[in-house]
Amino acid sequence: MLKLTRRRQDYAWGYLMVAPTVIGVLILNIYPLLKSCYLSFTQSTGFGHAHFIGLANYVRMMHDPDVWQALVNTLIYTAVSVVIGVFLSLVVAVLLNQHIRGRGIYRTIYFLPVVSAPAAVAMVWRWLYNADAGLFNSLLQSVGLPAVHWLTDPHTALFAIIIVGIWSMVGYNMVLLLAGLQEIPRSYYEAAEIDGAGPVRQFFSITLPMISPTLFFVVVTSIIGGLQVFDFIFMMIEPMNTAMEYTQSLVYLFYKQSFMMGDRSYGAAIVMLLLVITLVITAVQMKLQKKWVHYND
Amino acid sequence: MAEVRLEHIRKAYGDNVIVKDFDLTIRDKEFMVFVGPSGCGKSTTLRMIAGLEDITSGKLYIGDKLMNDVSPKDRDIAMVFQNYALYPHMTVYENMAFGLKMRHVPKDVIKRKVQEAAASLQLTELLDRKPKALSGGQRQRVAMGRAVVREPSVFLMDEPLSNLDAKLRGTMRTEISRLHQRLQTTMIYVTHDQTEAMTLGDRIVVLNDGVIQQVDTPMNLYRHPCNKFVAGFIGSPSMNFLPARIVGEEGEVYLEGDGFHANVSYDMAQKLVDVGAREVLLGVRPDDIHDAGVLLADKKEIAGQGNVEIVEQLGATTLLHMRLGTQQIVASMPGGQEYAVGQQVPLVFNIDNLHVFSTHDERNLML
Ligand SMILES: Nc1ncnc2c1ncn2[C@@H]1O[C@H](COP(=O)(O)OP(=O)(O)OP(=O)(O)O)[C@@H](O)[C@H]1O
Ligand SMILES: [Mg+2]
Repeated sequence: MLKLTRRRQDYAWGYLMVAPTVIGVLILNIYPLLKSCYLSFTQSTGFGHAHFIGLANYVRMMHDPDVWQALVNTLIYTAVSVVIGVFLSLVVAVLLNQHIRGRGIYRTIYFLPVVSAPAAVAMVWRWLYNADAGLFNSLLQSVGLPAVHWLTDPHTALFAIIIVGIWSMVGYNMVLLLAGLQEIPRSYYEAAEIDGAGPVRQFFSITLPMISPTLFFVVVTSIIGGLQVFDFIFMMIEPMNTAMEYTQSLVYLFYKQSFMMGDRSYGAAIVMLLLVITLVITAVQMKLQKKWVHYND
Repeated sequence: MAEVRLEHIRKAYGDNVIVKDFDLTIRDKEFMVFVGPSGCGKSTTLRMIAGLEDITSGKLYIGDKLMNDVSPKDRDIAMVFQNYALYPHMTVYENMAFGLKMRHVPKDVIKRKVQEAAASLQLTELLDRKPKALSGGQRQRVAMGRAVVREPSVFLMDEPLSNLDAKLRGTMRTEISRLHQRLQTTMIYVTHDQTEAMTLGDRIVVLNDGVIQQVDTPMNLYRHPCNKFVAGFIGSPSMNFLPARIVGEEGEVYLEGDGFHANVSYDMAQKLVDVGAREVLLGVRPDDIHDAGVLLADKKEIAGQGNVEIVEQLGATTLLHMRLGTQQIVASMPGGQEYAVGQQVPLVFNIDNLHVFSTHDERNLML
């Protein structure tokens, strides 16, 4: 038996407790990441063989209009869904933080999308967007407006997807923000009221700064989530859809290259591109947070 | 500058009445203290004056204006909260300036006023700090400063010193007194600490269970408490209460109870004769119990023998926790005397300062 000092024993227990998580991260996150990185510098030759080709995949990517379009799609999706989605989450959270009748029910309603099965959600939205029998078009036509081909028109398809994305993120973010709002002591608002600040002023001078750590978390995770958008595109846009080029995201393109075209190496290069973009955006946010996030301790 | 008038103010949450028929006029420039045990409705009353809580019924006037439905910002008040409620993301300067900024005071005026207030509260060095970088006492001063710069006509303070240690509390107490003298503003101060109440207040409102027990100057409350509650609440250590019987013998009246036999003053004797009941409650403050041995008192003056159980030496005074008959009493003796546990001490009561309360309604029978 090893003789351990008391302190060493404590450390040993500590390591033992975090081991499952660390091992999980290593196997499920770090290893695939390194593997992708390696793959991106190779060319797959089938049967699991690959040979090193340097930056060729990256050069190819630079000249691939699909990649550029997917990058633009992803950035548009992320920017629009995060700005509108986080704003709506905050508005709903603030409203639900008031003493209104039946707020428990509203909270549940807003949270429901978070726990609904994505496939079922996609089906319902596809029906809503359906050009011939969908609810939206029926509404449009009932007021004499022309029908819109929501999911097949290249001008609208991405925004149709964005709307679904926003709808599904508001509930989760709202719950986080609401928890943050409820942490703010009432006496700050009372002091502000006596100081003469109206509701709008109170929001900007007290609520916003005090909820900024939560808001920061929500923004960062929403942006990362947005950059990785895949499932709504996969489930709502068919491969032959005319709008595919203008909706597919980087992750969708990775999926297409890796699993439909069988070019794992090129797919890996696309993932590496996404990784770098995510890291840069997150790093910039970490820097910028000093300007607007107020930590209290 | 303003008088604050509460007319039959009542506060209820549903069927739960928290403040009952609160009727009080606080004079212009007066330092009024609300004191009472936890949960008696002090904060609720103060918050009604501030406008943070609705008034269920009754009328509130500040100056001559009916304030019931006026919003807090238009009541010309400033409030210091128990937890200070300093905006954590703002610097000390911004905290103090916020109220003026909301009132659209010009920037240079704000700057001058904040700096003046900061100087008077020794905060100048700290103006650029955030609240979390301040000590408890400094935060307390910032909270005061934030109220001072506004130059309100009424200051409201809800237990502003309760988060400080004993020594700092003493310092801040004098600081607040000085502030009141300098500003000459009406102040309403809530505390559950009777020492704070006695030292700060021009007048004190003693509250219990949402009902005003007595409103008077500190000395009058101490000397002439209107009932047992006030007598027990004001003064430290608390007054001793001893069940007693009025005994009259050939024109000589005295009070007799378990383990004691107390002579009374001529005045008191006259009044006791008129009391219908024979059973009363005798109230004696620890300061009014003396050691007969030290006083070289006459045997006839000795009220009883105290059996010392605990000795607390405070320096200038020594507190004796004693058994008198079967009851516990506390006596405050000069610090120079030595006492031992188990010692028998012959006791003399100061007959000029005895209090007698009714056993059935606890009212002071001598008033
Ligand atoms: N929103 C509310 N609903 C119901 N009861 C309340 C509410 N707010 C306060 N109370 C009750 O009112 C009573 C008085 O409360 P208040 O805060 O005025 O006491 P206090 O005298 O300031 O006591 P403390 O010294 O502990 O601060 C308490 O019994 C409290 O439980
Ligand atoms: Mg209170």
